[in-house]
Amino acid sequence: MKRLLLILAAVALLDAQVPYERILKAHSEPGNWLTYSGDYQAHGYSALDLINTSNVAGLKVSWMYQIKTTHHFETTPLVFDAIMYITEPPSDVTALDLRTGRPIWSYRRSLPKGVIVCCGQVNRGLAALDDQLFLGTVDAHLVALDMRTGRVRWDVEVADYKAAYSITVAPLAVKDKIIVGIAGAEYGIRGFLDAYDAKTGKRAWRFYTVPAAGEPGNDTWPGDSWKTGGAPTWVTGAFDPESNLVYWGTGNPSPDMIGDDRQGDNLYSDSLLALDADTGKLKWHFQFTPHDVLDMDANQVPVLLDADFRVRPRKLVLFANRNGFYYVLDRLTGEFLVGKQFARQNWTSGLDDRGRPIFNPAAVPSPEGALVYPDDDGTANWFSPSFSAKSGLFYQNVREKGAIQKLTHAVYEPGHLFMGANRLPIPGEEPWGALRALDWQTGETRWEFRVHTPPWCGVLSTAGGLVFSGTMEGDFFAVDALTGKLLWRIQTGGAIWSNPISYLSEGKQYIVVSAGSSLIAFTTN
Amino acid sequence: MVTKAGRSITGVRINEDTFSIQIRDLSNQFHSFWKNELTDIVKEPKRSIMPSYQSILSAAELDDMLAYLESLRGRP
Repeated sequence: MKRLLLILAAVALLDAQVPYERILKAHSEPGNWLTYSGDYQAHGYSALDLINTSNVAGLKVSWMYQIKTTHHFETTPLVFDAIMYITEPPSDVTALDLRTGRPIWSYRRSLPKGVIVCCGQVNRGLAALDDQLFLGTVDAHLVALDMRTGRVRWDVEVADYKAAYSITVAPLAVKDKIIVGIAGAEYGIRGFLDAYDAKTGKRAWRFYTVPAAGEPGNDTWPGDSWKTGGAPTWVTGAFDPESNLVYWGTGNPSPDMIGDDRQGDNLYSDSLLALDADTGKLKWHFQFTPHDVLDMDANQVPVLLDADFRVRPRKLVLFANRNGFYYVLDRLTGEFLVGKQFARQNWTSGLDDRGRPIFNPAAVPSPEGALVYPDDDGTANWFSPSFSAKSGLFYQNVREKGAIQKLTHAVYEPGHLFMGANRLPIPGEEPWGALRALDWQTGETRWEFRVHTPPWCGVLSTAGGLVFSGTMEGDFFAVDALTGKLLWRIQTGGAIWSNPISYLSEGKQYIVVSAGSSLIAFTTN
Repeated sequence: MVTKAGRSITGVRINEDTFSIQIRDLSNQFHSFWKNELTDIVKEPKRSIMPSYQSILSAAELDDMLAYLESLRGRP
């Protein structure tokens, strides 16, 4: 009888490999990486310290896994129970043996012709819940896979790919729901954030990020402009179980880069949303860039932090925005607390005491061409920041690149680009980048590690006192978390378009990152 | 570029990354340096290392040369 009970218990465990409670307590198992940013607070931090400042110089390649595509390899792996789960572009999934890097199973999606994606047919990762993995696809479906076999459990259409809706974001599993965002604001979609029942695939709620006629906020859109208003949700958010709020950033209003036909603030574009996880109801919003004409998507990872701030304990959200400003907000109310410039910008002369920017009219796309910093790829972008409570620093990769923005015109046609400016390089100017360590309380830069070109790599900080990141020329490197001093580097041979993570396997700590078409796992001897 | 040993090298940049730079000099020699081996890197994005023909050819000779080059046709 006892044996039968043990077997039943083991079966139950297999059926629920990653229950919600396990993700909730992700901090208690630092050897795994259970969700996109490592935990619900989205710190992008590893509490492992076997690789540290004293031995990182001996970091070596343990294994590599090659994919067979030329699209950018932007995956952030999940790791648990001795298996790594990755996405491969455009919308595939592979389970890898953690010991060898050898594939266990793959899910290969047949895509229809005519999938429209602005910036590459990419995918940034998976969500895991119980015994299923969840994948968003570039043809705008959400797919549940059996974790053990890769077989499809259910597959639902989120939106119509023929109207340029697509999914590149890693979903977020919260309680019994899978939360997933949408992309396509360069094509005049109407953005939303969705939640689906993890077991059935039935949609539980949808929050439209552009309010319809009669809804609060619609008065920030003239006429029918809201119907093609953009505000996409293509980077994974965070979750606060105590307040039951999901935090998720939204992107540019449509048409992109031109605002004549959408006068007003264009809510809820370029905002951080706080939504009830059960109902999708809006608790508060904070709009970083009202009436955006420079493609200042707030599609970055919000970082949640409980800490003493200005001599009292507060629940905060930290946000390094594409527009060049680092923000600290009260995450229960959305109150603006800090807004500090952390990169070169000229689109605003500053923020007022509520965090609203004061626009520079000279930095608006014009027929002659306007000089704008940053360009429409922004200073931050989808690549993740990292927060270390140990160092008290917020690590962010920064793109230092401007552009001449020439105004054109935009006419809406379903499935076609809906943009009103062309980007030209600034003659004689070489863009560059930096990994910056910001004081989380003030946004002041404590140190920077300069890189040759503007990066598209995320950041990982660790309890070993290290910060890992990479470059477009293929260098993957580690610096001292307190000083920014270079401690280790390797030339991987391919541009790095992903977020590094860390995990534990057979008593060794590993660092893994994708570079070019390779996924590379590093460890010390 | 100037090395720590004081040697100056001028050429066309072949590659550059955060840690290294590779150039081809005026005699077509390839050089690779770690940036921490250099004391100075001066970039002149508008400068060509092609020698100037301004004092060698007259305006008419330059026109003739361009006309000749324009007349050249390779095999289809």
